[in-house]
Amino acid sequence: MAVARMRKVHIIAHLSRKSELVATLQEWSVLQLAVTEKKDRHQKAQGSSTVSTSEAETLQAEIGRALVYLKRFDDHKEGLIDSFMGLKAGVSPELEADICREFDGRAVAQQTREYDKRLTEISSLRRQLLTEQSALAAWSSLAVRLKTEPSGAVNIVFGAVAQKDITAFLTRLEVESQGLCHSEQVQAVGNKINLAVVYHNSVSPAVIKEGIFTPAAFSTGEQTPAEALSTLQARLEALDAEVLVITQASALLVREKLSLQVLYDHYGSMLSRERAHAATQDTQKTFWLEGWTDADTEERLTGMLAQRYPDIFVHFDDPEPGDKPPIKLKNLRFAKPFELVTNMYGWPMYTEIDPTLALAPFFGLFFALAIGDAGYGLLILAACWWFMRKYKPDAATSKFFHLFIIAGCVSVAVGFAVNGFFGNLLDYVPIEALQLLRRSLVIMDPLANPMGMMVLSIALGVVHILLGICLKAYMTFRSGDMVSAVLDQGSWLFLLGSLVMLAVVSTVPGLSVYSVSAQYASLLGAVLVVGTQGRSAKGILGKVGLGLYALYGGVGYFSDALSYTRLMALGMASAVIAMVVNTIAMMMMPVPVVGWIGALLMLIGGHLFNLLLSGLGCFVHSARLQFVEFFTKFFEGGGVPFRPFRRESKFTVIRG
Amino acid sequence: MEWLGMNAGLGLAILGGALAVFLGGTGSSIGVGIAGQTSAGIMSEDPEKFGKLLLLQALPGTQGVYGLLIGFWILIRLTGVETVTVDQGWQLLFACLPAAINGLMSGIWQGKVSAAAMNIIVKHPDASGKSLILPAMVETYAIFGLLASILLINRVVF
Repeated sequence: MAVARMRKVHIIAHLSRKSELVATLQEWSVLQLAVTEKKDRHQKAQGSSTVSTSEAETLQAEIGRALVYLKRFDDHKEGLIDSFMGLKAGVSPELEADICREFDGRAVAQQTREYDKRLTEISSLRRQLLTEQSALAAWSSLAVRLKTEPSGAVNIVFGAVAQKDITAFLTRLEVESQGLCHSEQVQAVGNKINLAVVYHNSVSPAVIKEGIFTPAAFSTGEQTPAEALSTLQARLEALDAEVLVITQASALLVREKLSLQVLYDHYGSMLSRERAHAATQDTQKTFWLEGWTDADTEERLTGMLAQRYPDIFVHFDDPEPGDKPPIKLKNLRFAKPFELVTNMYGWPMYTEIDPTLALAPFFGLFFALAIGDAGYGLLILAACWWFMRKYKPDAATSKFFHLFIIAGCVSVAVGFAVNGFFGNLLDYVPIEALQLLRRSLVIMDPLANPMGMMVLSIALGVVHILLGICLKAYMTFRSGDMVSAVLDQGSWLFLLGSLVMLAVVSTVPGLSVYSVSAQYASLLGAVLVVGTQGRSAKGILGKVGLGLYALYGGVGYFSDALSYTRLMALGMASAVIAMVVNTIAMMMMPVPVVGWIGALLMLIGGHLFNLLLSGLGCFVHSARLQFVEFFTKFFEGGGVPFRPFRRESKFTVIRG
Repeated sequence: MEWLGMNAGLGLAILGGALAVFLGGTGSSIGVGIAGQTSAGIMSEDPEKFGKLLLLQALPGTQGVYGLLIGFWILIRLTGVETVTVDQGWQLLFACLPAAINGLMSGIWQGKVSAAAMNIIVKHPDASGKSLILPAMVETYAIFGLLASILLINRVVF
């Protein structure tokens, strides 16, 4: 239960060793580089590779874009589970080396960029053509070319007139052109009529220049509408064919996905090395690299460095007062998965304690009580086993499953103790021995004794809260402030402890003789709190006032304790829903033939639904009890996690 | 209370259970609806966030389940009871109200918080675990309503 002790590492060596050393450190992944701000910005990092930094950045970005593009053509869609796990492809070191040496990522990226560009062009062109097509369709029955320039003795114009104005328009046209005109109604579109108007050169009817007539313009003037439409159709088909070709070619490029991903990570790692290069402080001949590592690794790192680089200077230091060392958690094996819960909240400060070990047993127990079902516990175990087998997740993701494996085991035990196995499913199994066994395992059935369960939940909560105060006392004590530890946390522990005693002796028969002493103890506790908590105020009145106010603040402890009743409510909720599922399934049973199937489907679907929804709630609320009720007693957080300098991997992991 | 009729007790008890189901379900429908709209908006840009968004959308769904639970709890309590007096009916009806009304209000608000928490998933995918906790703070009060209703229903003497 601890935040690992960190050591500051100083490495000083000749500049010629820099590239190799940086690469080695990246491979070892044991050191977090300290960021130095005093860096001369203009100093060029000595590139360890054939590609310059900006070029690598551009290439990486282009490969990233190519991967996004290719995803559209990837038949292997990322499933729901994959998107959760963020699983990475495993690659052997040999394959990685091969790909980096031989694969021309630049060419593929270039190719996809062209495809992408062309597809965008085609898409906008298609939209344009389709608009033209729909406009032309309304003229398709007209057998003349769509040209408005004067030709010979007549002019021809095309346009639309509202249906209600058509008579007036035609009359005016007839009059204004003195009969030297002809109009043809081509087609009605909505409440307008498309018209072709032909008139002699010698007249100029004003009505076609007015608002009543909306002229239409065509880009395909040399053709009749039917011809133009077929040209458009041909162009559209050609575009579609091109899209098909590009799609097929892109689908073929999807084969290069893994190579692109490897290359992306390769450039990422290279850039991270370049940044490491830039983070050192250099003289003309030497460089000075600063970093952090945990004390446990110190010896190993010293040994490894001494063996490979006998000519460099390495020095380890403890953090200085102004330093903010990165945080690495160090926990027993069983508590390790619970670091996930701690990290959901944040990371402890270097001076704080790591709450993981303290929260681990409570988290497991809370989750189990809230789900309260052995059957669901078994399902969780089975699901974890299946995931671990199928996906073989890396260490970080495995933590998640280990957490649920522990929670699942506790749920099985607690489930039998609270008489839950897929709700009351065992009620329907008329085997005497089984019923006997089941009854012998039950300690408390929340459906039969909700009050008992509630008291149990609150009792657990009280233990949890008291532990929180004890941890605070420990932290205060450790920081050397013994007086505060005794006066602040000590007085509260005394008061709360006496109140718990009072509650116990006044409810358990036979202990009532102690109730008077418990009352006095509580009173003494209250006096202690009032007497000590106001000591920072000035004047006797101020001290007493502040003390009384602190006592009033003790109400918070009661509401905190009551908050744990959610465990009982959640447990009952999942139990009753499971019971309802069973009842409905059993109601289906008597239906001939399909009854069995219906009941089975109901049982599977209903219990899975309940497990998912209750499971989510149980996890979230168990976590909340830690964050809101427990952590507030002693834990602040705000540390920065230890992230060793290592190979960057967004898509792939190297597996030897 | 004669206007209520002979079997008013049973009717009142059923009304209580029905109210819990109805109001809890309404709260959840609105909450899940609000969260669903936001997740649909996010997914139109980034369909891969589906899994994480689904979790957040599901969170305000529990109020409906709690309401249903109270409905069944009433059913379980009434199983084997010969007659329900008007007094007992009123008691059961009132006992259902904490779960019903808390469910309605907290469902809606939890949906709003869930929708807001989805922004965390978009902007800081690493912190998606934290985003689950904020809506759960609202759910606390639905759970307390459920708890009160269960305990109150249990206290009604037949």
